[in-house]
Amino acid sequence: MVALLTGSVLNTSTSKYIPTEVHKELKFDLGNLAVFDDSHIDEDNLKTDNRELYLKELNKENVQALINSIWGLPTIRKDEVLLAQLPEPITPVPREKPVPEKRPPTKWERFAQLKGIKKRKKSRLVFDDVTGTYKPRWGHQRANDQSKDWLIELPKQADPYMDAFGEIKENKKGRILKNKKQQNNNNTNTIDVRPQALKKKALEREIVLTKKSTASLGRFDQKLKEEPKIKQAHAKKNKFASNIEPKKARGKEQSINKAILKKVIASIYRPIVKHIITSPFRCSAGALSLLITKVELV
Amino acid sequence: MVVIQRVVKATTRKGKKVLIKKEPQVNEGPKRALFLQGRRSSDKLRRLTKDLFDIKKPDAQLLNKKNDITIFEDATPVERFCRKFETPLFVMSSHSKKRPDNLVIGRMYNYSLLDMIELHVENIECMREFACQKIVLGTKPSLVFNGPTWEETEELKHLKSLFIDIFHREEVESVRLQGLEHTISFTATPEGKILIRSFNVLMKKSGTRVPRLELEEMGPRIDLTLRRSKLPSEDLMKEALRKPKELKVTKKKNISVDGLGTTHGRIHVGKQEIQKIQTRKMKGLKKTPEEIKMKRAAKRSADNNNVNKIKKQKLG
Repeated sequence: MVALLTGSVLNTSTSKYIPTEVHKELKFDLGNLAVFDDSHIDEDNLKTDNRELYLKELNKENVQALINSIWGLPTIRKDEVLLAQLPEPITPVPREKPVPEKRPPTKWERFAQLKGIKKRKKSRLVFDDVTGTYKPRWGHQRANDQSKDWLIELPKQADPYMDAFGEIKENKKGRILKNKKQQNNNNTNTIDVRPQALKKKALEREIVLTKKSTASLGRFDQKLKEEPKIKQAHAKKNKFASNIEPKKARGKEQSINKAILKKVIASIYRPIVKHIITSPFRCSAGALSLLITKVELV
Repeated sequence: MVVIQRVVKATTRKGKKVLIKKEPQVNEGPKRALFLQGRRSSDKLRRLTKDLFDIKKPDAQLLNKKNDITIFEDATPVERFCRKFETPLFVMSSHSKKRPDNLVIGRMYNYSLLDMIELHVENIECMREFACQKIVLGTKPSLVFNGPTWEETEELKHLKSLFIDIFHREEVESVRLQGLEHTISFTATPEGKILIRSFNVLMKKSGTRVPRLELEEMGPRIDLTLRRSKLPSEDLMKEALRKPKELKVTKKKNISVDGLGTTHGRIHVGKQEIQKIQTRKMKGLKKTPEEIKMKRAAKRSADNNNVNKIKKQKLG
């Protein structure tokens, strides 16, 4: 907020007129045409009958100060009218709706940006050869209207029994449908924003993954001519030790299987044991000891 | 319960234009205000509503019927009205035994309640009772806020912001110097009353460029007292005050404005070779043909000396 003493050079007045200077410390918000007077208001003045007069005088001073500062702003002349250029408003005023989001560019907009194609403004009226006048480019009573042709010249190779007039109508319907489809494609959020190069890489990666997802890891897949060589992965081979071997060898297989079994049973029994131990109800010692020994055995 | 809102698609071009208008825009026009009634209304309130509506025209909508709305309990009916009529501001008047002559002023952000303040209308004198020429419809008024208390309490700060929002019409970049005809003053007394006075501004000769002003009271004279209020949450207000990137002024580099208002600019000039600057040609200082010959001979001998020196170095 700018505090100004408005006794500026502009206001040096002659003795004939009432002075327009205001010697008051006020704060201005010229962008909103507002003036803020922080000076203390005399309560006694407000209680008397002179209340309205007092308010009027107070406001007169403040508005005079505001006018003084507005007249001090830079001015421009527009259409024979003098305009004062207001600064940005200081008091923040909230918006009524949120800031609009920028919609993503459409397929054509992206292409045009890539190629550097700029929009060229087309004229509304075009010369119509038939009437020899200027008519609108599109819409009602347009120039060079194909649908209004009373005669269509067929080329030599064309079928004379084909409905040429109907074909024009069908083509137009097709164009409208295509346009609607393209509009819908633009409106949906599933626009592929990736450039072509990235898409190729993604495809290549997908090929590699699909190959690896077979049991033989793509060893016996039919390869195309120009397919790139992919590092061959090897499947994990499960080695099974014999169950019938002498005790030393048997031990390994047995111990592996025992360990698995232990884990499985423990995962079933552990929550039960935990529940028993932590539960407020007493459990018979016999049942508890049985459970614990069962877990230990295994 | 989540209300699923149907995506409204327009079938006609006119309908499409209406929908586009309702979408959020970078630059927003003047805010419209909705004037509505609660369960019951009093004579005072009716006159006040009519006057405020006249001031706020054409950016206002007046609803005449009574509505069973208790806004501080449930603001959704008002939100619905504001969505229907596209009015982010609302002024609701209601009269009851508990809260006589009640006026609730509030605003919406994105069709949901931002803040509202309840006021008690103590006294009102209509525009009709003042015999003077009124202003042209649609003039932007100048606003005067008197009293130190406007900056002291949170409620009054928000009320000030609300008043500016309602009455300032539209944000403009320039204003016609002769067009400052209307002024509205808001005085906050030490007792806690808010006095609204509206004046017609007459510009008289003053002997200087700036005119002398005379105020003529023309508009409604309103005396208000604060009642309840519902202030906005910090983050919602912050979101509402956010300015779009397009409106942010990009500061031009190397240009600064000092305290007195003079614009200073910095120009970066490259390194200058003072010895090789092209100065004015003075014919008298031009070398004569003999002098050029002498200079060339001197240069040649100097070159020979250099060559001899190099030869000596090589040999030696």
